[in-house]
Amino acid sequence: MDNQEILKKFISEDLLNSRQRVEADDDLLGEEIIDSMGVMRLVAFVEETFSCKVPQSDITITNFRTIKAIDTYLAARSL
Amino acid sequence: MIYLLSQILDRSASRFPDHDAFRCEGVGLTYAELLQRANGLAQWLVAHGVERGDRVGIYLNKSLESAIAVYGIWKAGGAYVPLDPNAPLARTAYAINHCEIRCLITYKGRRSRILDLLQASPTLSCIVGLPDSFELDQSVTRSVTRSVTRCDWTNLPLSDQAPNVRLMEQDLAYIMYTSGSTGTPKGIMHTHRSGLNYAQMAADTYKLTHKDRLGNHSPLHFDMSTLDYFSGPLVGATTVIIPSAYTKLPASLSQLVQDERMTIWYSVPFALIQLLLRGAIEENGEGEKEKRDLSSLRWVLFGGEPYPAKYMYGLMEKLPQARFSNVYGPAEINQCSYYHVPPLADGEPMPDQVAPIGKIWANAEEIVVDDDDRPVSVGEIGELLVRTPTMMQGYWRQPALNERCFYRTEIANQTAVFYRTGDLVQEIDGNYHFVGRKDRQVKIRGYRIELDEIEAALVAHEQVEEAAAYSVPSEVGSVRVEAAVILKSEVTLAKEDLMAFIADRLPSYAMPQQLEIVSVFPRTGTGKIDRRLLQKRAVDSYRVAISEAYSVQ
Repeated sequence: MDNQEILKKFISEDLLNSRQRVEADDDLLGEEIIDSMGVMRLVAFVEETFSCKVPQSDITITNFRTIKAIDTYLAARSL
Repeated sequence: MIYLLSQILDRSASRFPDHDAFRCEGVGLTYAELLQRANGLAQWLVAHGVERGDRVGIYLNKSLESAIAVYGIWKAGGAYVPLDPNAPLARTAYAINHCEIRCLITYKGRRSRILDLLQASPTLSCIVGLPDSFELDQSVTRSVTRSVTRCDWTNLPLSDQAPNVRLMEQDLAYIMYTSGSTGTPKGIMHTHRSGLNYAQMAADTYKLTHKDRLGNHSPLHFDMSTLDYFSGPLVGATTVIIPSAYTKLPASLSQLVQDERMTIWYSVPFALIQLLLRGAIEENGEGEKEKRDLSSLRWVLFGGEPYPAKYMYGLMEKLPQARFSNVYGPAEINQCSYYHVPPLADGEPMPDQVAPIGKIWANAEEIVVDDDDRPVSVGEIGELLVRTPTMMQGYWRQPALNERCFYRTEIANQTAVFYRTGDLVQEIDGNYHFVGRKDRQVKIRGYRIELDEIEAALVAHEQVEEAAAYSVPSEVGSVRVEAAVILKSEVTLAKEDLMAFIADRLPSYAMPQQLEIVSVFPRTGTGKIDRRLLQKRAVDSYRVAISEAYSVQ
């Protein structure tokens, strides 16, 4: 599975308890998808799964609004 | 002199026409523009049947439109009813039907739910903020055949003139729905008088001026928003509306505080704890590249739930220029006291929580009573009853509840009406301290949750015999709700199905984090469910789960 698929699976199945299937372009921070506790779990998952430390100042709307954005952020980090 | 909340806007628009009244996502709306747009909306509302005292729903996310809606509704003579755009449909429809909302103000992002709302709410016949291109008659199952008047935001007129509507300070200004213990929400009714009194008292207490920039953290359906929407505009200040995405990402939130040079902050402690722990406000040496500058903040106000002291003093240390105050008051009375927190003296031990709620405002009075409504002596614990000009009229169409929630007595040869807060307080060294609740209400991130309401939602399922909901303290200074049910004999029900059932009835913040299906409940001597024991067991197992989670790392 590529990064986007891994993130899709985690967010849809774990964070959302399979209530909703998210796509790479969905606005995760919009009204209903993920709450602030969910963001913390998502960051912890990213750190663990992709073996990286995400500094506080990187946990921003630009980097975490969509699955694509997280993927782009991870790619930029591994350069 | 002004006596209506709508006159706040008239006055500030004449004093500070070019000053931003509200800002959102980097876009500003000046007082002159807000006045023109609010007048235009009011003209349209009146032309389409809104009359004095009519309830008008606001079904918007955090946006500049919400400010136009609030002031536009007032100028039309109506009362605004803020509806949580994320609440389950049935809950929103309940509020619309209960206070007979005919006109709803929304935006196109909510259009998919408008059809469902129109079907669930037969009184609804007028929608502002829906594009003309949106089909109301979409399919056989989702068609709305009655006539619905509508107008998109872009087609609303601008006007220098408000409609000619006569209003008094006793007229209804807004209704806020909040969790009710019987399983249905109750609508808190505020008049122009109670709202304006609050706006003035708060502006005076926190010394607000037109130079202030208030960060609006609370959504409109949450009572803390009234400081940002009423008191800020009263002095010609700028209110910066914080979109919900920012409130979930503390590092973006702190960036916004810096970029918008916010001076006043008012939120539940949860948001401030997040800002301290994850807001990138210090260099921690772990790859932090940037550090936010929050030196513009001059006053940090918090309230709604207890603030663990280590986080409050932690933030105070990072923001030495800011004053910190604990603000107290249920939505029924807006606010009635404050406590300015002094820095810890040298060697002073840190308490667990910032418990003092301070002194009652000069223009209010209080009695602290025991279970038989007899005043307690100073230093004894009792229920706080408050009488204040910022108090609600009562709950919309709840005569029995209105009988119970007020306490009447004679003071200075007059009948004095006090609101029963349900909060237990104790006076220590001249300040009241919050010590708990008289009933089973809990707060989660500032939201009021009635455990009875959660139980009512569970028992509403036809296969559930009995239910118990209880709160469990969690590690971030908030609580989580857990619940257990007993099913009727010889039925099976999957936990997931029951969770889905209550998700249609409860707001997301009230959903239990843990739900157990059990065969027996522990009982007290009188046969009642022993909720205290259930709570104790949950607290113990949650502690074990937390310590295991930490030991794995």
